[in-house]
Amino acid sequence: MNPRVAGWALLCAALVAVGLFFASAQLVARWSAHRFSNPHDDLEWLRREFRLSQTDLERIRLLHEGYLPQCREWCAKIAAKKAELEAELAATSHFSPRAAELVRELASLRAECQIRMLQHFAEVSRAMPADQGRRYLAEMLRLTLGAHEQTERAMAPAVLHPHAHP
Amino acid sequence: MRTSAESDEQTLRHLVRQARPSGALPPDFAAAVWRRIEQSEAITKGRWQQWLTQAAAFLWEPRHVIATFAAALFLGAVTGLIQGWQQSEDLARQRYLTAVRPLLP
Repeated sequence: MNPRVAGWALLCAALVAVGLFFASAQLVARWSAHRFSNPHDDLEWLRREFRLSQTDLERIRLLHEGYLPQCREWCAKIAAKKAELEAELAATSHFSPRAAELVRELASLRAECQIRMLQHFAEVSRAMPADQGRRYLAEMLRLTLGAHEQTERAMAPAVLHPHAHP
Repeated sequence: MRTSAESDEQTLRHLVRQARPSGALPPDFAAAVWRRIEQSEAITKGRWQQWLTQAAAFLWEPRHVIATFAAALFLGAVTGLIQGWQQSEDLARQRYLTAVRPLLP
């Protein structure tokens, strides 16, 4: 065989093989990520990450299922208050005292919702073995309160350099 | 009286003097060196071409090409499974967080 033809044939074969490799890796990764994550169970991550026994998991499932309706209720209250605020803002051209009151009520509802959420995390952590419970609580505080901290940190330079303001 | 070390040194000097090349290089010495370099390059190039031709001939067989592509698919699938396992943890965590903290991003 002519070496040049052989070279081209090998190059084509290598390209096809590499293409097949990446295509199958991509497809299988997508399929298996969905499958391994157990899409029908919200608590799959807890079971895996904190190596929970079946008994611990059932105890936590009861807490989780008890918490979800409360959580939905708070979400509905917050959504209703938000809609009320939006209607108030749309109705008047200026920022009315009623709108300010609604903003305060909305913040209060959100704070109450966050308090319930943190209480739930504490309950769940107590239902786990001690070490894993501490790790769970730390992780959940990082993941939930951390979101606010990022925003606050982004605002921090303005506070750190008060002389920059007129 | 001569010591044994001095005697050895004398013998060594004599040997070195004898081993030193004498006379001029042959007239085609440089050409011969280049010829040997070219021959060695030709051998290397020949080996590379031979390897290329053999590899292409191997893949010319349908069963070999199918086996090669099947191996690529298999290795890709194994890599995908490992990646999928890692991604599934993120998916599961995201699902739990969405369930318990709906207000946050």
